[in-house]
Amino acid sequence: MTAYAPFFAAWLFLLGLFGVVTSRHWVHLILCLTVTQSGTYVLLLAVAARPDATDPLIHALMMVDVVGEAAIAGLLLALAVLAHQRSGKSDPRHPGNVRG
Amino acid sequence: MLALVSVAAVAVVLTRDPGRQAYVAAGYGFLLALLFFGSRAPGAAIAELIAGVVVVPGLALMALAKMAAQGPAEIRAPDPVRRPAGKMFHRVLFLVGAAVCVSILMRGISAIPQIRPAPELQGNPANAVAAVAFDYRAFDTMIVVFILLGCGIAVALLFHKHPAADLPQATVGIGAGGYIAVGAVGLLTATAFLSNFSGAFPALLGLAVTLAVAGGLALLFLAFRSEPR
Repeated sequence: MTAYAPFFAAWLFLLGLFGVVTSRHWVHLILCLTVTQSGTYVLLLAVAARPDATDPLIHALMMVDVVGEAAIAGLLLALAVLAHQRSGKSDPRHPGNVRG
Repeated sequence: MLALVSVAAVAVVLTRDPGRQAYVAAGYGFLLALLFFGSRAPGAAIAELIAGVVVVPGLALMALAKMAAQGPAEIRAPDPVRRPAGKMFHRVLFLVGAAVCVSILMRGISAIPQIRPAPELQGNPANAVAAVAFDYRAFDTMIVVFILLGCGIAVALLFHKHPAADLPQATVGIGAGGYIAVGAVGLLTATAFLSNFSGAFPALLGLAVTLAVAGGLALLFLAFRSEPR
């Protein structure tokens, strides 16, 4: 599994990025972003794997990654709700009167 | 298992309806958690079960419900831009605060090589896992607490500034409960730090975490109080 894991990680990353770029709804975009981030989990799993054992320190890093993902997704969802509240739109391609 | 996860990821991205996508994403999180369990990373698996299966899809559904309650695409007049007199002051305050937080984190990151397991655990292979769990883990739990508190405070500030947040009281209650739990973890971490390492640096960090927890709770209380109902 370890030999192929970087390719799976790259696949997940590109797939999520594709979803983000072609997204038509803020919530869809944010969930695609979590797919992008899950590529890093697979990569970290591959880094942690050893022939005889696993590295608990890198698993701890993965936990940080997972929790950070949840927190950042929550923050982005709150921003999406506010953007919708202000413009009445949910399409990232036509954000209405919401400016950077 | 990896192949299964990859296929599930395709399903998540290609489900265009966000309401249905939240459930697909929950299934994807469950598969990821299984992958973690299979790769002997139970801690990450539990975190993924909570974050990927419950929290993120739940938040997405809540956000969708809120958007639906806000109504369809009627164009609202943009809010009049408020320019309070102390705006520059606020900006400077924000920059200083951000610089202080970043420098504390940088100081912590530069201190990682100096973190050693407690003396009674050193050189004892049977306790290597305990050393990792209670020493290194404490450090990274602290960073997690910082990230969580930062995002939580940002959300509280956003909804405080725009008091149209007619979220159900239950949602706010759940949020406050989560905050109190995170605060308890932060306090435990700080205590573990203080008992395991001596010196001014851990004491400073423990103080910072405690202050952050107290500040987060106060902000949440403020947001809760300013509900329009």
